[in-house]
Amino acid sequence: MKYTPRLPETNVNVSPGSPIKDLLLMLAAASAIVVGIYVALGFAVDKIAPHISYETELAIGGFLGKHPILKNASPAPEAIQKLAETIRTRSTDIPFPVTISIREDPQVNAFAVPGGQIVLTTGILDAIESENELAFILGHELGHIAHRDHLRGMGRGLVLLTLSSLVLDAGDSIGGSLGNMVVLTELTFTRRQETLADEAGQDALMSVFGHITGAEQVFSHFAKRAETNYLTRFALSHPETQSRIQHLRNRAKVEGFPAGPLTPLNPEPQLSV
Amino acid sequence: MFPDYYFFIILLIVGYVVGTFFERRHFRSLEQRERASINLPMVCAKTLPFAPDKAEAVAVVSGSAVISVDYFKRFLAWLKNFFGGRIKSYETLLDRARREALLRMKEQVPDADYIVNVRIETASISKSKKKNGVSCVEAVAYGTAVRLRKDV
Repeated sequence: MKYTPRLPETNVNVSPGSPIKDLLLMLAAASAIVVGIYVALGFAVDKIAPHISYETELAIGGFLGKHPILKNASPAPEAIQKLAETIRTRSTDIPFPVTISIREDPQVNAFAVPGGQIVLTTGILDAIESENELAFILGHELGHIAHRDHLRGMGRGLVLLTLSSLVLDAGDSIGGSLGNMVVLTELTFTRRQETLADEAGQDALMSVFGHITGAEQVFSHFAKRAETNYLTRFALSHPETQSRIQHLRNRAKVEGFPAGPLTPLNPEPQLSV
Repeated sequence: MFPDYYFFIILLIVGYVVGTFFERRHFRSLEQRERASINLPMVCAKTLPFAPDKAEAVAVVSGSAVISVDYFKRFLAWLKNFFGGRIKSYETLLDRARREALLRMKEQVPDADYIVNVRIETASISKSKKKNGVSCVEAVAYGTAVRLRKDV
């Protein structure tokens, strides 16, 4: 019998299957794992943050002070610092002094950073028209500091940053720029945290002026900002803002907070830094 | 951060499209050439499948091929590092390298009657300690080519 050589019909050494499908499956699994870790660590951070001592917080604050977003901010005028200190001593139990910085930024924004640093943008200072509004904003941010919300936000930011640098295997480029974003953008809070901070703002108004007028004006500035930005236009009719205002009105009714006249910004020229 | 991601995605797409194109072309060429050289038997046996005095000429022949991975394949393999399992994206690579090496060995001695004692070795060529060092695989095939006397 004569042997006739033949090529094999199939290649057993190469597995069948689409590599794209393989890739998508593995990416989905990997992201599920990362998201799972992030959520779990996020919960852990929420549990731990309230127990961080004020000394530790000040140390973290000193460390964060080197961040470009804080470094490029200039100290606020005496009047604002004084107002913040008045609110802190009268209506919060924060044991360390707070510093207010002003950041050159047209956006209407304010945020608190661990270690008792509050940053106001020039945008928000240009928008507000009365001392009451300023007091509400400062009271709101001091509320976040008193409730340790900013520590939670930063903790979650750190978790995200660590995870991203681990997963993306990126040394400086991706990790660094993500870090810049994360430190501040992660300072977004839950609805409940915002409501509590609003209450702190209302308490601040009561402690300084003896009435609560000014809070709603602040919200109107944020609505205006939303109007000019098509991405956030939805915020204009955003139920969250409406419900926050409604909550403050209800609280004023229950607590018997009176309304009163707005105090003009004083002294005016100092505020337009 | 966005340019980094774009760069990565572009590399993945280029790797997939170009890599798949070259791979398919290579597989077609392999099959064609294997068909053409099918009548030159290669055996792994150390002993001769014929009487020794029938040999007219003997020579050592070898063929080697180096195949590199594309970015897409490397990324897939990197992901597999987490989950384990067959690294399918490297299977084609090794298959191509081995078959190409065998073919190159055969193509050197088209007038031989046998290649005996055929062996294949593979080696990874990645000198760089850096993570982004190019990794490629080399396959070397070698054996003893024999031409038989036609008069006996």
